Amino acid sequence: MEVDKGKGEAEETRKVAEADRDTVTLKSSDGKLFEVSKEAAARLSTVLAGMIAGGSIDDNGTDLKQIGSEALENVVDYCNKHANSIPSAALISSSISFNTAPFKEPEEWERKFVDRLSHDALFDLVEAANFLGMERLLDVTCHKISEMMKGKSPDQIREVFNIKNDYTKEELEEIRQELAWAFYDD
Amino acid sequence: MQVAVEPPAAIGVPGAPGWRLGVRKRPIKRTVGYGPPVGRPSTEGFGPLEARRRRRRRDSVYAPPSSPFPAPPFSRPRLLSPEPLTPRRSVSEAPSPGHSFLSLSLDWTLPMKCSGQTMEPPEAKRKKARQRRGGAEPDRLSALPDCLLHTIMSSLKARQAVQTCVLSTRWRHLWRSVPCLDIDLDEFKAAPNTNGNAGLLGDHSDSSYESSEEEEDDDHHGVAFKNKE
Repeated sequence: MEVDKGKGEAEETRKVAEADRDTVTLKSSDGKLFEVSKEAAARLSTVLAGMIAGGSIDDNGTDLKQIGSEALENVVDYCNKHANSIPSAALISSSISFNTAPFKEPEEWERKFVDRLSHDALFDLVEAANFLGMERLLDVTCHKISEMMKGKSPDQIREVFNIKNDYTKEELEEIRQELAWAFYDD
Repeated sequence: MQVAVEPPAAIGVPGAPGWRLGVRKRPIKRTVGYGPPVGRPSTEGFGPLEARRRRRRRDSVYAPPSSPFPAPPFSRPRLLSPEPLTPRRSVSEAPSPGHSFLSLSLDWTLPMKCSGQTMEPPEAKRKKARQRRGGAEPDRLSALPDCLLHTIMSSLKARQAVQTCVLSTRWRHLWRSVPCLDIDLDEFKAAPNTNGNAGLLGDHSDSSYESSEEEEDDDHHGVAFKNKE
């Protein structure tokens, strides 16, 4: 009887310890493991928050098959850095309505964070943030992309992003005439 | 453009073949008589004449009308002779090492091998795809979903957001559904009024272009009205 009781207690403490574990293990598509604090993950990613609340977090690494290790490393890096910086009230409220909330300019560290990324890594990060429902990270990365487009002519944008022009000459002429007010200077 | 053809007066009588349940059968869809249905070239149609023409066309495969000589009468039966079957007999024999059949089967094992492997990371997959395409960088931007492109375009100036429509067909109508626009009136102040097509806000260029929201709304109506004319 005594032994049984001891066993039960041990199990209970183990369960409590599991619930109290303050990190989440994430597994990238190529099998690499990353740890991120539960609090930051739940706060920054709606998808991870749902998984934590729903108890579908795997201790041996939650599989994120859509995300490569490079992108996941950046995501985790962002979460850790974010946990260190003081979150502002505006940031939390901005997650309520994504498209209509006024965009808050990226902070200095966020700017640095996206500036060091390569072209491919940036887009990997956008896709990962979109998959995980990380709205702030999505805002910051999308802002970076639009900064890359700002002030450039369509031809220059095509060159930067390798966009293939699949219009015919006639179609282009038609669009330019239809929207002459937007193309008056070229 | 299809011009509506009024049916003959006889069809206009209720109970006549052109009427069903008192509603006139779509007169636009059908020209008078047994003409071709809408949307087809007028030379083609239905009816006994067309059927005969088609039969003639089908038969003419063996004796094309353009050829000055009539086809030899044995041209069709000869296709049924055992000659074309000869290569098939060799298939039943053991294929030689250099046989094309073997190389074909080797090709087919390739996709099987790929599917048997564990999932590749997206980066590696993309790199491989890039190598296949001869080193051309992929278009990562256009591959993003519409909502993300909208977010990106929202931070652009309104005129530049509209200009993205010429990037490629993927971008043609994206700007029309951007949720928020950054409109800078100075940008439109410089827009000339080309051939009666008023600039978005161009009418206010000299007098009162510091318009309130209400006036802006009016202006939009004005543009819409002008375009209708």
